[in-house]
Amino acid sequence: MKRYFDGIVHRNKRIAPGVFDMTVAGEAVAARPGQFAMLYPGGDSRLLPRPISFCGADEKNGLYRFVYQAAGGGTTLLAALEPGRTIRALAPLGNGFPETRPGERAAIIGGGLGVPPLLWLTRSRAASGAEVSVFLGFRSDPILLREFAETGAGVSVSTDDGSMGFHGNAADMFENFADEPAFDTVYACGPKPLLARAAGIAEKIRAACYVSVEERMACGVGACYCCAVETRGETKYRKCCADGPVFDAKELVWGAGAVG
Amino acid sequence: MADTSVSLAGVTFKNPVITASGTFASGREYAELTDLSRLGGITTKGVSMEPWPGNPPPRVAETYGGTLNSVGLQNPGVERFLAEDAPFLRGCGARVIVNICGHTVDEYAAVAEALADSGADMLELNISCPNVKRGGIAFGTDPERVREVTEAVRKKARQPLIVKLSPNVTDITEIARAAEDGGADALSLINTLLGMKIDIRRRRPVLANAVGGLSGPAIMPVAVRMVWAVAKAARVPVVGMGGIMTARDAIEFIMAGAAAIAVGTATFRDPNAAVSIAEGIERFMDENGINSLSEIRGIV
Repeated sequence: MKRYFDGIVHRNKRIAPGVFDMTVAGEAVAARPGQFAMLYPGGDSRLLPRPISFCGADEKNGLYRFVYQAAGGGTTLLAALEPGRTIRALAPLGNGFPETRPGERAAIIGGGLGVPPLLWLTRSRAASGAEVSVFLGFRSDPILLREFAETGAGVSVSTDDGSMGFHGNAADMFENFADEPAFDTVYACGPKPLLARAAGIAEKIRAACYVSVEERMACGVGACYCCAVETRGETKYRKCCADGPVFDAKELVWGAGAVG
Repeated sequence: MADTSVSLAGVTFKNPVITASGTFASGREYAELTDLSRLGGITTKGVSMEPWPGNPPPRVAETYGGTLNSVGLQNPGVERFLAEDAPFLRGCGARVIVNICGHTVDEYAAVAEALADSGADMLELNISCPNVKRGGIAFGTDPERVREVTEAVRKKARQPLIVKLSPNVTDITEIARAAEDGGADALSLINTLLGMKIDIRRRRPVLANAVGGLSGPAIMPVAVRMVWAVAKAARVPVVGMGGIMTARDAIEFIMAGAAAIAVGTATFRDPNAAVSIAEGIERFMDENGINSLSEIRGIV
């Protein structure tokens, strides 16, 4: 059940250049990995909320965690919120990642700010007994590595500048690794080119592939049709907010912008 | 207690607040977040004869006090509207206005005809969408074509017909008169203003379609002025909209001459905005000793 509520910022801490780790206390709503919240920056000049995926949730206590980049005006306002301040939220939204299957061998691939939503997925998969290998790529400053390691999953790290781990992006690293052992499922979140690569590799190794897609949104609930995602279905554009943000990669059309 | 009801071309609304087309789908998406039965009316997203795919993304950009969109009237067509949305709307507790769009006069008329038994209380003719190449604004900026398409749809429509006007014209009262001449039972205005935003880092427009329609409080003074001018010039009632965020904003439109008002972009900031505005209007009436909105309508 979606709720529109005023939450309280519990913490909102910078964990890397331009990257913030925020916990919000709000209404107890049942959420799952891959779902997101609309967070309202407030102020009269900015009308639209910002869609941010859950990095984690303690639903019983109504605590929700978001790790986000202060990139534009709206997220910069979110970054300036001090603990104790009120923040308006609409959650949970979207479909989330599908349920796990018994004995699942999962590869989880994240790039940059696509990494945080995968922490919750990794935790839940590892806790349910899946065999999980995580491939995380960063420009130069890795985040959340200790928490990923604590899930018990195997974690590999890459950086674009080679300052840590594999030199290259997460897809390059995964491709090097993907021949053996085999995976049943590939999950990916990050920039579109990374998602397209992950989908291609998954197809080659005959694994199912689910990707979390990002698109500019307005309403967050499927009413305005602003967050179009191109698909192969009879409906050319589906809604990122209501039909996604997690899609079966087979449904998606990877535009020219996604190549590379 | 104040009587908030209003009448629009013979259709009574329990209060003057209607959701604006394209911002509320067919209401279902908001049903768990707001009480639809407390709305005066719901205007659906544009419905065409065949499914329309819409424009490539990005389709939305935020601007100072507003939003730009170029959705392009994506919709699954009238057949699926009748099967999936119309039954829900019939039980929603608010008046239902179905917004109709087409590429040609015949297509507009065919949609109106297909909606005869849909349960819609009124139809709204969309000749003002700035985001489609054929139809939409191409009709709404030429008085002769406005008269022609209004007349054709009026002949086929079983319900009273609202014609939605574009602000992207030199003289909106001329277009309003053309719609009246074609048989419009009411007018609604304004649709979005054409606008553009550029991403200076990428050196290209933010919207894939380059231009889009500007909505939100940034456009409200333009909308109030146009509603004021059209309400004075027209014989039929006017539904006023454009950037309404609060009940006070809505009262401005009513004082400018609007019989009812529509709330759009505000819903993106607060799913309950339209219902809150309806409550605020009632409070304003009570506080100011107004028994009926007709006491202040067009008072300016």
